[in-house]
Amino acid sequence: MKPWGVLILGLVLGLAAGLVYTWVIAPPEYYDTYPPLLDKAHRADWIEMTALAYGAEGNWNRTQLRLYGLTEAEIRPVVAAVLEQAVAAGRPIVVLQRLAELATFYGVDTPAVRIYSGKAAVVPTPHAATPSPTPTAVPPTATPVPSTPTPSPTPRPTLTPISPTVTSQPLVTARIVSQTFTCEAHPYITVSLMLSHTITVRRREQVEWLPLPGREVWLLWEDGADRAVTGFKPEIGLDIADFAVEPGHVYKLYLDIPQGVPLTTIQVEPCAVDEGEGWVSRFLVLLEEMPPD
Amino acid sequence: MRRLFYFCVGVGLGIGLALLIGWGLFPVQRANSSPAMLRRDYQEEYIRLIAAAYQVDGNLTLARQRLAALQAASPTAPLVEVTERWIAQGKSTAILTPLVQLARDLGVNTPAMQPYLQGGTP
Repeated sequence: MKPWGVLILGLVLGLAAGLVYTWVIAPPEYYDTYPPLLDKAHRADWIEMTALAYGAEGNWNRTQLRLYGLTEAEIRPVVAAVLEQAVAAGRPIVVLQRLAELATFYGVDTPAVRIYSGKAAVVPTPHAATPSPTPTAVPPTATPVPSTPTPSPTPRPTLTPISPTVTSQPLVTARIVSQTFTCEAHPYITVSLMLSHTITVRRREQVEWLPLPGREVWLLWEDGADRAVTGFKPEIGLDIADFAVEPGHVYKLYLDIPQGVPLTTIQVEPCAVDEGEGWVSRFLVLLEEMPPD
Repeated sequence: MRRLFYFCVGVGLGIGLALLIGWGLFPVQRANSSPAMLRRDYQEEYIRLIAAAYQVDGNLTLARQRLAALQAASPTAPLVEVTERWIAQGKSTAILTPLVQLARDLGVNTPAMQPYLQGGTP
């Protein structure tokens, strides 16, 4: 063998031996690392703590930074497990909702996620807010709530009575008594907040609805929130609060305080084919009942 | 003899090249580090996460285990150090309270932490 051939042979052998040593036997030890370089158990622990911290703090941006660089495939099962454990442990509803929100973001779809993210109806328990006699303006039929607007040749509002607000929260002050859908190029959600009270006229009880101005209505979505006050535009009604909404978001509607179980969850959907192009807008009537004396 | 010399030179060059590649240019990146190897700011975030998680799950044993993963001389030392430094920096009560409450539940209570324990219980 020629000398240069021997040199190359030695080079190859030295290179192979050196790489085995540096990559397998004695790889560099890292300091100043970041979470994705933690071992598997500690990565899972980091994700679990991040989920719990989001449940406690509700800081979305910080949560995203904490999970930066970790794969969704790794985050998903941990977040789902954290939610299940939190449900089993009876954690506060706010924590469960935040965990469900986080789980939803990472594509987890379990019954717990559906319940606490407001995507599934919860059968009201007997001790939950029981609807009082329905005012005559809204016929108490058991028609299911349509997910799309009623098809009609013109974008004429259709009144659809719906069942009382379904919630596991015992202290509900208002409930949705009707929803009207229209097809609009620029979708909106309008809320009419009314107070129902019973008056006695000539020894006969009558239910009367009054507008409730000055109340805060909140709309929360994945990365934002909006607030409107009823009666802010008196020319359209003392009971009215309205929001411009955008397709692609899931909105949660709250009254007074944006906490707890939302009154409803709304997704802006495209109009039915025969209604033309546009987005479904909603007119919700919220009824607050005067507590009995 | 000359061939042996060339062979040794080749092996030496190969090893040198391998060290350069294996430790310098293309080091193997294994996700096998521990919280103790995290960068300082991530370690602080880790401590903050431990305290926040403890606020929700109330699992003191787990919180202690997590702190021990930082491999400090005393498991509570990093918690106390971060908490006192952040108190001195004037961080918000929302950040400090969980840390102080965890420290207290782990049996640590320093004068600087006292004001944050006046408000209530965890």
